[in-house]
Amino acid sequence: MFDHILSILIFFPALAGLFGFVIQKDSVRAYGVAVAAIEFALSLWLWYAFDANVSGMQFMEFLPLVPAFGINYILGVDGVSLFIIILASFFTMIGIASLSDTKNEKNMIITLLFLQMTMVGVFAALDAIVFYIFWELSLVPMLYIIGAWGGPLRIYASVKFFLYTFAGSLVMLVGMLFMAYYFYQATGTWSFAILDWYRLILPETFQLWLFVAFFIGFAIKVPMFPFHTWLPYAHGQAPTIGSVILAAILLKMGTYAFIRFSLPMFPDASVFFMFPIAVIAIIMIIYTAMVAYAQEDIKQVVAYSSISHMGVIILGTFALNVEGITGSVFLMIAHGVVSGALFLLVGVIYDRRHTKMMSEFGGLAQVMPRYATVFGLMLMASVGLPLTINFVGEFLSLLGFYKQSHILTLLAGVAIIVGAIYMLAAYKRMFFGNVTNEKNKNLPDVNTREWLALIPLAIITVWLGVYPKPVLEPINNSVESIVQLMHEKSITAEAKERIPNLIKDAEAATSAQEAH
Amino acid sequence: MEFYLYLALFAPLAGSLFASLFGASKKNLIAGLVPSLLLFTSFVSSTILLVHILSGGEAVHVEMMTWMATGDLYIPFGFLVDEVSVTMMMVVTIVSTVVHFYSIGYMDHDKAFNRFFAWLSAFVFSMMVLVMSDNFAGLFIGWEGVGLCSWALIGFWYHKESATWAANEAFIMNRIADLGMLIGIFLVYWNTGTLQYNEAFAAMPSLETDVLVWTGIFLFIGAMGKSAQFPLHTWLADAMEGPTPVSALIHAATMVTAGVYLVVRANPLYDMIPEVGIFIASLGAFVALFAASMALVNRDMKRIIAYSTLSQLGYMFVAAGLGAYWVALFHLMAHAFFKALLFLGAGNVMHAMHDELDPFKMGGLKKAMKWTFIMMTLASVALAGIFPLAGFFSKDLILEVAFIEHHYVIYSVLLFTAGLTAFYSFRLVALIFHGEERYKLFGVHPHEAYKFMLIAMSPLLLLAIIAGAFKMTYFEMVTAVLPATEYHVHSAMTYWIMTIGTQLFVILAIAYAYKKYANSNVKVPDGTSKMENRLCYKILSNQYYIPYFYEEYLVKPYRELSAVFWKQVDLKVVDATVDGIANIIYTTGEKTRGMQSGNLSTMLKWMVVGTVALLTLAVVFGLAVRYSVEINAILSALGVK
Amino acid sequence: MLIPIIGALLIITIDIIKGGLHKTLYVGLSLLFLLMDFGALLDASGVFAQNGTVMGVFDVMMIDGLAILSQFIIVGASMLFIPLALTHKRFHEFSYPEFFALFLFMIAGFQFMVATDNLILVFVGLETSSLALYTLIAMHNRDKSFEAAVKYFTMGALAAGFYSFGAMIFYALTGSVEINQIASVLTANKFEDMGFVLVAVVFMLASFGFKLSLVPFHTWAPDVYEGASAAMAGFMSIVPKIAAFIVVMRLFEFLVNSGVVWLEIVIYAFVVVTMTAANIWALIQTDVKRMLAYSSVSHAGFVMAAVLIGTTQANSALFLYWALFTFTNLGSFSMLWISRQKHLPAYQSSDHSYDKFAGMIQTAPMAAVIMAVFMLSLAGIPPFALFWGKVYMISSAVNADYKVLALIMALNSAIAGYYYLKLIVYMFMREPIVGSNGHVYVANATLSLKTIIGFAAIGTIFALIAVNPLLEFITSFVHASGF
Repeated sequence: MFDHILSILIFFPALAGLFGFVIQKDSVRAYGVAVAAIEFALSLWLWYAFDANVSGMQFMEFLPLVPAFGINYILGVDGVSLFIIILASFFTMIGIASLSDTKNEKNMIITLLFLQMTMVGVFAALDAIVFYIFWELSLVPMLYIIGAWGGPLRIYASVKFFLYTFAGSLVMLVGMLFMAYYFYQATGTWSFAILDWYRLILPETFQLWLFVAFFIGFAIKVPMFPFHTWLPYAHGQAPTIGSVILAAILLKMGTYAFIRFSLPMFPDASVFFMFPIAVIAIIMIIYTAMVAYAQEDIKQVVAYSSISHMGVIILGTFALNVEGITGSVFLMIAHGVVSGALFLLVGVIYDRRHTKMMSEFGGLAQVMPRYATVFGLMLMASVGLPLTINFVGEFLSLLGFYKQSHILTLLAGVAIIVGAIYMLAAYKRMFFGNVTNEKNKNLPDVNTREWLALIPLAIITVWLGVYPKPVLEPINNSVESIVQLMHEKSITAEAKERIPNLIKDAEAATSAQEAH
Repeated sequence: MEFYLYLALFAPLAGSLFASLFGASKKNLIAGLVPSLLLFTSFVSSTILLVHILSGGEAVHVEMMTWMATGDLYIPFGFLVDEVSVTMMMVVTIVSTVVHFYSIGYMDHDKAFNRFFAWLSAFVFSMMVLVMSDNFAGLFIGWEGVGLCSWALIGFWYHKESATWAANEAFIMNRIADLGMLIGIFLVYWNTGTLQYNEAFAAMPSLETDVLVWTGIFLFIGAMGKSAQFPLHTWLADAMEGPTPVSALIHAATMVTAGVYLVVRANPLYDMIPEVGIFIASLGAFVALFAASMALVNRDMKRIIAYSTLSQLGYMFVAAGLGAYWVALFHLMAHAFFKALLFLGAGNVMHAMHDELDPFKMGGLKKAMKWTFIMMTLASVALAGIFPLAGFFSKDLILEVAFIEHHYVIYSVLLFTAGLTAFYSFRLVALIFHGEERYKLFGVHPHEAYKFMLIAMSPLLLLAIIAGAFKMTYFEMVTAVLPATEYHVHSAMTYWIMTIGTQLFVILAIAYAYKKYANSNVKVPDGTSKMENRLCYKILSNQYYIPYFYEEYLVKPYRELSAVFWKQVDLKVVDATVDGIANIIYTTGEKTRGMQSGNLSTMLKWMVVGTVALLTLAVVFGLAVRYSVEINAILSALGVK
Repeated sequence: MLIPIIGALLIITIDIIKGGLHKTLYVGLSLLFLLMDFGALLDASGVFAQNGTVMGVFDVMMIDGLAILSQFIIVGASMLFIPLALTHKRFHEFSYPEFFALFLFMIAGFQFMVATDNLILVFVGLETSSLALYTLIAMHNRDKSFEAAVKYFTMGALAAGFYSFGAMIFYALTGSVEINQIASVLTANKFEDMGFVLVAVVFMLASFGFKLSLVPFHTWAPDVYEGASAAMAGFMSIVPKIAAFIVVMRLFEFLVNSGVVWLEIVIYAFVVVTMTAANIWALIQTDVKRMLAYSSVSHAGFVMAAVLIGTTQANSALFLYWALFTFTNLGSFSMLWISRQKHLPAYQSSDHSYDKFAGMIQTAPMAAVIMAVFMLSLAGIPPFALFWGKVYMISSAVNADYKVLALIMALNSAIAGYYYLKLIVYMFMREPIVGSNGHVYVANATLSLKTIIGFAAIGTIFALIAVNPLLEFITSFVHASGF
């Protein structure tokens, strides 16, 4: 059975969702929680069965779909995707568990289960078309969640989110078809299998074009400046659960795709575009942080902050060395946890006051001390304080990129300053001072259902901040193999020199030790 | 020994967690007592470690577990107790134990009593991590940890706008410096391939100088933030918004000295780059004078002490910058004792005066609070550096160092500052304890602090008096790791002239302070007196207008720019473009829909039009092909290729 | 091919012998004959698979891969269409036996059209089918449908004129009406009378541009679709077009391949303009049916690219695309069909205005989901049917090195995404309009209609299983018939 663990992980929620239609309205939440819990347990089993020392793909599955055209159903996980999958199932679980009372809850939960299928699918797919299928399919449930349960501007926001991403990914699709065509020319067989594509060494000009094509698709998803404007609307309008999933998982699809596609397939192009992208990343970091500082709506602050953090992730990815890429992958998880938690926290206050305007609050620390504490913890994590999960990722990402450029890293490092500025300012406005607004005088503190979601997140935040090894190690192994692959594939001298050759280094290290 | 190491390290953490259990509930003495006792154990085990080190045992070095490991990067949680760190541990644990017990009394009436101890112990833990870590990353953990705790403790009374503002200012300013620190760490890693102190420093001599210079500079930027060196100094004065024990512990004795500790710790690096050392020393000297000058006219008891702290930190950096690391560390230790004492005394006064801070509104308190008076006076004497108290040994040593290293400018600056220090310290003492009992005007009835608070303070008093006596033993100890340069003025003659000269100068300053402020005709200034309207007075009392400058030219523009970025750029440009494209498509549809009139004849027209258009194209093209030869001929005739 | 004709005659005779029988009988009969026809096709395909192209009846008939494939689509689509006559509400066109007779005649016409490369026979087929079609539209018996029929008829007449004129010129140039001979002659004399060839091509383009509703010859489409019953509209968006496509492929591809640059450019223009313009107009429609009309225009433009590219992959892509399109489009039109009331309620501007579907998810969830699936498929969201067609088509453009074209095609699907999304938005995110209840959406539903829709839905959702066999089958046939 567990040879097909990945397929199970993908399709179990969807099937469960189908059955969900027949469940009676009031008991559907329990059903949803149960399903999500099982899914989460399965994903944990995946982790348990995962061999951290193997750098390559594991739990591979193969099933021909359209062999005539080289499209096959190929699945597999490595250290990079493993934890994002776990994160996805985890967030779906606590998301459903802590779901505040919504109208037609049933549709919501079924939608979430379908969404989960697409999320796991994206990260498990090893065939470009299968990847694309899940990638696109993930838009639909999110569209529905934002559009049906969102705020006043929900339709505009959801349609914008859908079309923007859809347009981008169509360009990416054309890129994939080109890639397949080049592969066909090179080998005479059709194949969309990513692992096959890895073996293909393209001339630099082709790489540049394809890189751009893929980049458009990914950049809109991440979202990178200047393609980011759909995100504030989406977050601003989406219901809490929507924002949580969006920030925690869906955004990671873009950064993950960079590591899965762009880097190994187009190493020279990656080096070629490294600095332009780094500049964009820095703009994301500083510019969006400043925009976040200007916001009046706490949710928008968190939304813009996640763009800012994605900038750091991108920077780490394009450090093109083990430290940086590992850091960026870890930061994906970290940011998932922290921003997810922050959105949940915003949801907590929104459920009580039905407003997200910071000017409405103030002095909440007196009324809701526990809430303030958890919020403070997550805030400090988001600011990147050591011993919280975010720090490990940010530190490694910046450290990695420092190898490539001193001055750019110095600029990117401003992240830790501007991040502190907007976060502390927001916290001050919401929690400090005296309770001025009558409506806030007697707000209930965090309730059990909310603790259900927040406590695990808080634990993870600290645990992985203090002891990231269990996660960092598998990531590291997979990343090392990717970097090595890039080094061997790269053709230009600059790429050879920018992308470290681990094997050589390893030999050097061993010899050095012998010398000692 | 390892056991004691862990005990010393984690006892405060345990205390903090214990207290935080009561976080949200109402005041509970246990929540204060237990952390204090735990800290005491931590102090005891630190002492045991000290004894171990003193008795020639080699440094205790443990590696608890891996923290980060990826690529070639390997960062463990490693802890090192050597001569330097044990000194720091002693300082930290002693002062914090005292402060904890003191606070039980001081925070007696505060409803957030439990929260206070949770944070205070958390701070001690971070500080211990900072000083005990055996690598830069671990140092950075503590570095940020103390920052966090100081944020929480400055903003402890979070309902006060000024407090929360000061807290955020402190955090953000430290963050600016931390960036430098981070870059320094990156430089260390990519050049030496490790972050472990010993390995990194071992690898450094083989690096080219400019790398070392940059590393040194960036690390020092980090130090500047924590130790509030110019231009990142403004937060320290504002940090006085926190409860006074916090000021005593964090903003006088321990955290602010972290920068000095870093430089001392990195002495192998800074030895290789004397030019940076000179810069550090000069900056230190400048800050010493700069801060002291601001203390002269200030009318806030705590701020005056804060400025004196700043100025003393300047002294330490002078020593460190000139390579006299052990001297710096020694002054750090001595200063910690008497400055903490001073602050706690101030705390007593505040209690007595119902949180009144303006010394001009006090006066003649020595009757009401005898012990506090004695303690603060002795502390001030120590601070002024009068023989035989601690300050004399440590501070005058720094002067000698400057002299011997032939940096006469620095020397004279420091000497002058010593005078100022003596003056403002005793200005304070005089205003508070001597002269008219001006507080009567404000109808307060001062009372001495609790007995146990005074007892709690006594160890500090003792140390403030006798610390100097340990000089030689201390020297023996630390020079095991630090460069052992003895500083002796060559001719006994000059030595005595210097020493006695300094003493006289200082005593004169004190006398002047007393003369000016201890007499009975000191009035509460109302902004009318001639002195207050002098330009220099205004400049000093406004702290050289630096805070104003920051507010006007950094904070405001940042805020406005952010607003512009959001309202103008993000919404009006970036987003508008996206929607614009969509709208263009849509409107073209609207415009061209006329084609679909539903009228049959128009439809037919369109068909015919289409056909005719194609036809003409076809004919043209066809003719072109048919007569291609001729056309080419004509073209070539026209000279077209 | 004769089978439907026989069927038609039979139906008429039955009607003469005993009138006023119930429509179910006729439906059954036509279905029966179509089945037989289908069987015959299977047989023919078997023959073709063995020994290639078969010429028959004085060599005017030609059963090659294209013919067979297209007939599969034609007959298949018709079989899906016929049961739609069994509606809940009584629409009396279906009570006339003539309806079914004409319908079968029309099928026969189309089959003739695709199964020959003789321009005259093509013309015969074209006219038979068209005339039948005009009548069928008119039989819907509403002012709009008469209007539609008349418009269609007039323009069709013009198109027919163009066609005959073009054919004539070809004959004048080459002395033959057989496409392959025209080709050989023209290539033999190296297109010396390029001018005339082009003129002929222009007329052909005009007439087929009409049939395929390429901009600017598309103007009839929206009105006619609106006039015709939804089911008929769906039918029209599929069957006549595939027939026309076959002829266009036969006629134009050899011209394009034999380097008539002009034609290549013109078709390129047609493809881009048709796709884009139709999409843009679809954006601004307020009536779902008109929107679908424009969308099928744009789809036609999309598929026209195959003719331009002209590689085997492209041609097979055309069939694949159209086969999948059949399911989706017929499905979506039938969804409109079952929601068709006899009389307009007050709050509705037209039969199928968007706001009619507002909040459908709450009143009729199942129907809403199915409709949404069709829309997503039309928008090309994987893994639904049309996605595969799109991918294969774009990929064929890529492989033939039409980089820009590929990009344009992709981006057009993005634009198209908007108006399909619009319906979904209405169905899922708007609040239902007061007074409308779930019944509206199934006003017209009967078991047979539901079956058809279910069939279409399943075909749309599980397309990815069918894609591979379909692709292999098509490719082999297309390849074997030398395209």
